[in-house]
Amino acid sequence: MKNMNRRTFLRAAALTGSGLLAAACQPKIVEVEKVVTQIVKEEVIVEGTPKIVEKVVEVAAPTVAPKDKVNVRDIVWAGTAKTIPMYEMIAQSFNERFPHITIEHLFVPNDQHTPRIQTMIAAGDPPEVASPLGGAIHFFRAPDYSVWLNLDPFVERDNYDLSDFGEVSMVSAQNPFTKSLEGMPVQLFSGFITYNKDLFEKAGIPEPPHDWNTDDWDIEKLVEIASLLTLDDKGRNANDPSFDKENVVQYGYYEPEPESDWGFMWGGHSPRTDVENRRNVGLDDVFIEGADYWRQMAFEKRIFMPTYEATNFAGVMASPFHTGKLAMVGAYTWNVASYKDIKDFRYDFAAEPHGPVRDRFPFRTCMDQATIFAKSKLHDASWEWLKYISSEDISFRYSVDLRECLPARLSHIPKYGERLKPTMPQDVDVNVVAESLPFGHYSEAWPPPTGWIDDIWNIYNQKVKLNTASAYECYPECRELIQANWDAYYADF
Amino acid sequence: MATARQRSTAARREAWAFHLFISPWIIGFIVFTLFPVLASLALSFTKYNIAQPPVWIGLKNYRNAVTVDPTFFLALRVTWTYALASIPLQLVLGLIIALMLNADIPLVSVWRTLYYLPSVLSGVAVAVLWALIFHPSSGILNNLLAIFGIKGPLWLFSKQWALPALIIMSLWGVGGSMIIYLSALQGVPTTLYEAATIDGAGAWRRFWNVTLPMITPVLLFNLIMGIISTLQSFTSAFVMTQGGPEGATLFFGLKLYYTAFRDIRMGYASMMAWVLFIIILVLTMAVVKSSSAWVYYEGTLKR
Repeated sequence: MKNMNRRTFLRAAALTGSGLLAAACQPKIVEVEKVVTQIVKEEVIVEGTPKIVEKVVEVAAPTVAPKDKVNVRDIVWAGTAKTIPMYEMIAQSFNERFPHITIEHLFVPNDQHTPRIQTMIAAGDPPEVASPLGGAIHFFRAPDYSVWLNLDPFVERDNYDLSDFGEVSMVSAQNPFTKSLEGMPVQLFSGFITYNKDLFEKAGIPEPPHDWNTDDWDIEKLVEIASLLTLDDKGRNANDPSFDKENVVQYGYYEPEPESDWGFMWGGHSPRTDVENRRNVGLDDVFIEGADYWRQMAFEKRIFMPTYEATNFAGVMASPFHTGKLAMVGAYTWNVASYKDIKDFRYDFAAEPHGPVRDRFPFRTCMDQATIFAKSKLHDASWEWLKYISSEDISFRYSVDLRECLPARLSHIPKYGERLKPTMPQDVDVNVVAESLPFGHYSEAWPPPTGWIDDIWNIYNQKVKLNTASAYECYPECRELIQANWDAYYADF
Repeated sequence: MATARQRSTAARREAWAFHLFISPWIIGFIVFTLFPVLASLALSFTKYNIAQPPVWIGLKNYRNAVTVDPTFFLALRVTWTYALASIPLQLVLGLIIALMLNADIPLVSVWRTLYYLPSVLSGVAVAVLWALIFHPSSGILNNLLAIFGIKGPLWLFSKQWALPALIIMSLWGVGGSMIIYLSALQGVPTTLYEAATIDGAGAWRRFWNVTLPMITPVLLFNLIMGIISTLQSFTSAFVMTQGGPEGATLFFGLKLYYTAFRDIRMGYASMMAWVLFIIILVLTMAVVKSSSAWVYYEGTLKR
């Protein structure tokens, strides 16, 4: 170095600089963006009546798959020590099929999932995919925008067969305003009754049916059985004239989320929106009748456990049902894991009763889906990932093995029972869970983030759940307030 | 002797040094405080769902709050009731405990630590603890009342008792104001007490005419801090009641949080933040203005 002259130094510097420049140059990802015309559906009001009209818009065509390596970030909620390795394993098997696409999972705790997505969107750098995504998907849909990519062109381009996904799944995957497909069903959750076999046997009452098509298994029958199985501290059931309503020690039935189910069962619409016309509130008179029926059973007849008593009743147990003093409970697939801990009594699964309207049952079918952020630059690679996790080969693993939930594909439903049965410590009829799918209602209660709906609904709903007012007394006022909210919101459109 | 030029150069150098050392704070203040505050003011006149750029809607958010949103005034009412009840209680209880701990009692430093400890515990942990205390059947409080033959209410599950429960819980943290009162009490000149005693003043008279006037500056401070923190209450309702039952504990801060982060309506939430700011500002200014009538600073003469 001491003997280096200026010329040598300049040569060395030039060589070093060129080398650094060459090293810094990365191969570019060539994205070919095309614009194509597409027919989209839009809801308009014509002379006071909502109508779906079609209009032609220009949208970005599905991007050409890049040949260079790409990284698809998938934001996942609630990864656990058990599920994270399974997610990674599925990602790895995908990478073996698509070596140029790497899936990077961003595991976020449940309660932070939506805020994290919001923050990333606000920062202008959302991930490519969100999967699985449940009700939170509706937070990012409104009449004037959606953060989700329209998947219809991709389905059409690749001729992707959606016939194996049920109606509820496809409705939930659609944008309710534009009717475009915005998600791929990947996981399903459904409801059923879990009942205490020992309590039924002790009372000498036949167990509830497992067949979902049992005509005479209805609300009246449920109430009849619940009355016999609700006991006070002296062992008198609810039909006994001297039944002590203040000292109930065993309940016949508990529905953890009666808010919309009972009104729906009577034939009503969701409390937040009328599914036929989203500019109107639901909460019709039929809904009110059903909701108040629940209240009467809970507080006047005292055969349904009131919601606020559940924590009290459960004490230190995982749930009221685990105490062994609850004959029947409205359960969901996400409760199944907790039942595996029950050792003190025998239990089984049964069909839910239908309401006064034959095809209405008191539970909702929830669908978690995989979606692509519209602002992502890797549409095609993301779409490959969506197809993979919803495919014939992988879908079952992505649902049943990963989350112990129902498979998204109808053809996989029969295999659900086979997979679940060996994991249950007791001999339970797991087919009841598998067969529940066609009977749940889509959770039309999910509104877009439009106003004060939840604040209003929670207040009035709690009046009924705490029996400070009947549904007849308070829901009409609630209906007016929510409608005012919708009117204010849609005044902008 | 430095010439004028030398003095000017030195002054300039000193100014440079000042600006250089204070610049990190100034930059941080502008970027992380001033700009977001001004941005939220601008956003309060917009409809903003973070997925799309803000859309100017003028005073519509303010108008909707008054005319359409039934929970806006509910939240204000709940927060106001909470503040009206808990601020005086906190002031009085803090002072009483400070007076007790100002006495010459055995292990006084241990007692002071014990009374101060609750105020340093995390808000969420305290809320969870009190949720267990208020449990209708297994909670300590109702079990204690049962010993005296009293059937305790449903507390957090009762529309009538949920807010009183949170008010009771707010007294848990009086240790913070107690410490400040304590330091003020110890700053009261003993000569005043001696003079009052010589003049025949009893304990109550000494408290009313000597102690209280001498600690009014600290009372003013605790009152203003109490107004600011109480009107911004959030944690207890968020953890314990989520604003229920029936909106009985829907604090304004909680509704603001739900509007911004549950409903993703940043424009409306910004409006709420500014309404809260103006309310707190007006109240604080009113208290400060009134302080000339009841706050005594040592050395000042009131005519």
